[in-house]
Amino acid sequence: MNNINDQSENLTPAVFYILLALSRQDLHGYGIMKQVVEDSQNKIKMGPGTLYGSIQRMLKDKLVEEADGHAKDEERRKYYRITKLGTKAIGGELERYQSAIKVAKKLELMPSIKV
Amino acid sequence: MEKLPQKIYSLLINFYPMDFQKQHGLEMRQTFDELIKDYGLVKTWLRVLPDFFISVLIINIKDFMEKSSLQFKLALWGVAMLVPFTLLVLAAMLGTLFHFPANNFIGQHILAGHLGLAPFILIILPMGAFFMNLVPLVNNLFQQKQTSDVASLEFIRTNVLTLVVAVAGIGAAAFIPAHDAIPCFINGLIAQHFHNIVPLFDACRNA
Repeated sequence: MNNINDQSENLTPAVFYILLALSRQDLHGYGIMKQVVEDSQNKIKMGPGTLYGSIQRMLKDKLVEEADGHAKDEERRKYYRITKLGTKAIGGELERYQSAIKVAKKLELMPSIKV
Repeated sequence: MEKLPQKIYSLLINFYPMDFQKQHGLEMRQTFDELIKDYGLVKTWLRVLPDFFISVLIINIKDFMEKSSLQFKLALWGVAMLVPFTLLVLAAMLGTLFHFPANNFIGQHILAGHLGLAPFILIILPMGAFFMNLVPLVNNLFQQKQTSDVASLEFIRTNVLTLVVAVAGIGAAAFIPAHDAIPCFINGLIAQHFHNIVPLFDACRNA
């Protein structure tokens, strides 16, 4: 079974950027979409299908949850919040990136980045 | 009141699995509206359409794989039926196209016959979506997870547009190869007072 809970599996780019967006604050779907575009410097532009497909998978894996307390929203939009498991998952992924960057730096594959 | 782009997008959402539509359908429509406000119609469609074709396939496959073994078997059966059929029709069309010269009478008629099958290919997606929603409905009814009335109404609500597209495809598929024979068949039917329908049908087909 596909399970991110043990952190042995890498996150997909969509899941990674959604978790990154939700690390700041609770957001609704379109808010997530805009934040992902900004965080990825326009490199990841998700459509609604990919966004909500990823969110559904993340809800099942308990990486995110629906957030209450946004009743002031007139259009009754659902907001999402990152869970502890989600924070742990993105932390693990960032650690993997960090070690990969260290290696890349040693090999002088990324001379412009200082670690 | 919904405008045309919103109506079209609502129709596309019907191709996602029923559970997914219930959980995220409204949000997807809201997101689509906001995309149009921020990026305009053309840029929104350029972003939404490729995403739709990929995500609808992936989400339906994932949903299908997660359902019961009965559903999985039905899915395999469906794919086993559809894929060779589609390939066969495409191969036959291409074969005919290359084998006969453009002005060859027999070749043109065989090609027309194959083209008559083309609408069948067009109904694969809506029919697939329809059956993917039908199987969970039957499962729910058997397992009595919800009352049959609620399940049936929900099924009709989410599938009516899908079914219309599929029926239109089937209608087109039936009409294209048969339309030449229709006047002959109706005239003959009136003249022969509903007698000997089978020979009449054969005669019209061979006319």
